[in-house]
Amino acid sequence: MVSKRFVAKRLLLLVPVLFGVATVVFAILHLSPGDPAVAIAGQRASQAFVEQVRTDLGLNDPLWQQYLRFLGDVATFDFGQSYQIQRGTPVSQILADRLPITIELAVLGQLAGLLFGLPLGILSAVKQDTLTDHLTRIGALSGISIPIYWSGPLLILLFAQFLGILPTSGRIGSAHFIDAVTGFILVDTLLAGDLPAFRSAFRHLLLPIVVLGIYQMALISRMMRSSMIEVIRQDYMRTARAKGQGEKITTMKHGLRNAFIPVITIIGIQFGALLGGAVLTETVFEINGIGTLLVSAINQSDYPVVQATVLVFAVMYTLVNLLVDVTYSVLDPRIEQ
Amino acid sequence: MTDSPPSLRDLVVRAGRWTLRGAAVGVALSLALLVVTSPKGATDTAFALGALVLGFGVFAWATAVGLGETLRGVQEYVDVGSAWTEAGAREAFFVLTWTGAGWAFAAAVTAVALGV
Repeated sequence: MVSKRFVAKRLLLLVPVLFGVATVVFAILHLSPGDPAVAIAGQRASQAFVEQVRTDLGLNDPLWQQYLRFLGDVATFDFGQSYQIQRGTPVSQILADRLPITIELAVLGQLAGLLFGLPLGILSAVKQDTLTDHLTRIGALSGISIPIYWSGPLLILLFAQFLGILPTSGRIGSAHFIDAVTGFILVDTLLAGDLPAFRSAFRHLLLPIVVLGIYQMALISRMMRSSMIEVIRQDYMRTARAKGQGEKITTMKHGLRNAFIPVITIIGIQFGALLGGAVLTETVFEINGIGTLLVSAINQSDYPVVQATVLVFAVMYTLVNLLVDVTYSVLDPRIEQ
Repeated sequence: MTDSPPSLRDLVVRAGRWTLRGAAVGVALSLALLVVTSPKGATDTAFALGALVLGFGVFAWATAVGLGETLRGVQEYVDVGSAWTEAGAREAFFVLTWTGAGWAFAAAVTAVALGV
């Protein structure tokens, strides 16, 4: 059982992580070129109007004052209002609308990676140095090597353009109208009891999930294979086999749990890459999650949206790693010590 | 690197030393930038650079504390023979954090002194 002290200690680390990320993002935004006042006022606006906008936004104050004000706002979870993306709308509301979209994509991508990566890794380890093993390893190496910005358009070309069996972009067909209850399109269509809409949403999500899942699957299967090979050679596995336990039961009962520990660690560390992948995937498939929101906000110098989005990414990453640590300590209680 | 953890007094002395060094950088950079830009531009840029160092230091320190053992475990597992240790990482990011803090604070004080 995981101790409360362990979880509390890890949650406390969220404070310096968020402070650090908030400070880095604030500094980078103010060092990078681009003036939000000009972006808001427009390129043809008079200098006086641009100055007025700058004063209204507090951008004429010394940077250290802006920084203290920003930290105060972050501490109270007040991210202000969007300068450009949805002008005047609270950033928290924009994030609340977009976040479920990205979470749904990332979770499904991760699940797809686990669903295919784990069995492939185990199969590859159990059938070491056979044709199955070689094919799986080549597949895994290809999956790790192919970047999302290449595999995405390629799959769109194949399944949408040539075969015409899957849609190219969006989250659901234009004929379906679903009220957002949870924000997760698959859940919302099921809650509405609209099966055609569910099918449409699933078909729209399939390609983005495959694109995100390929990399995860490749990485997980490689880690699972090497971890499993190491575990299979352990004395306790030989003992279990010598006692007459079947190969399958020995592998699944004694091997899987121990082999899973390093894989869990990799899943946590790789979650950052998964979020980065979600940004690219959303851009390629025109999905309006926080990935595309971040790209648009950077292009339009929408400081509050950029700051809040990056902080949300940091919180998600930290919480996933906390979850990984908790799982890790359940699988191997020595980790808490 | 000593085996026993440093005392609180040692930590405060070292933090103070690195803060002072950072402050010297912050003041020097603010004044040097005055040659090419306005007092606000100079102190804002110096402050942003100091904040960048501070933020990176704090973030990386917290990551080293939180994920240090995990990273060391992965490193051992994949058999990478690097000399990276959690204690070494914490030490390095401690230095960055306090240097950045002194730098940013000094840039802010310089801004006030210049009447920005």
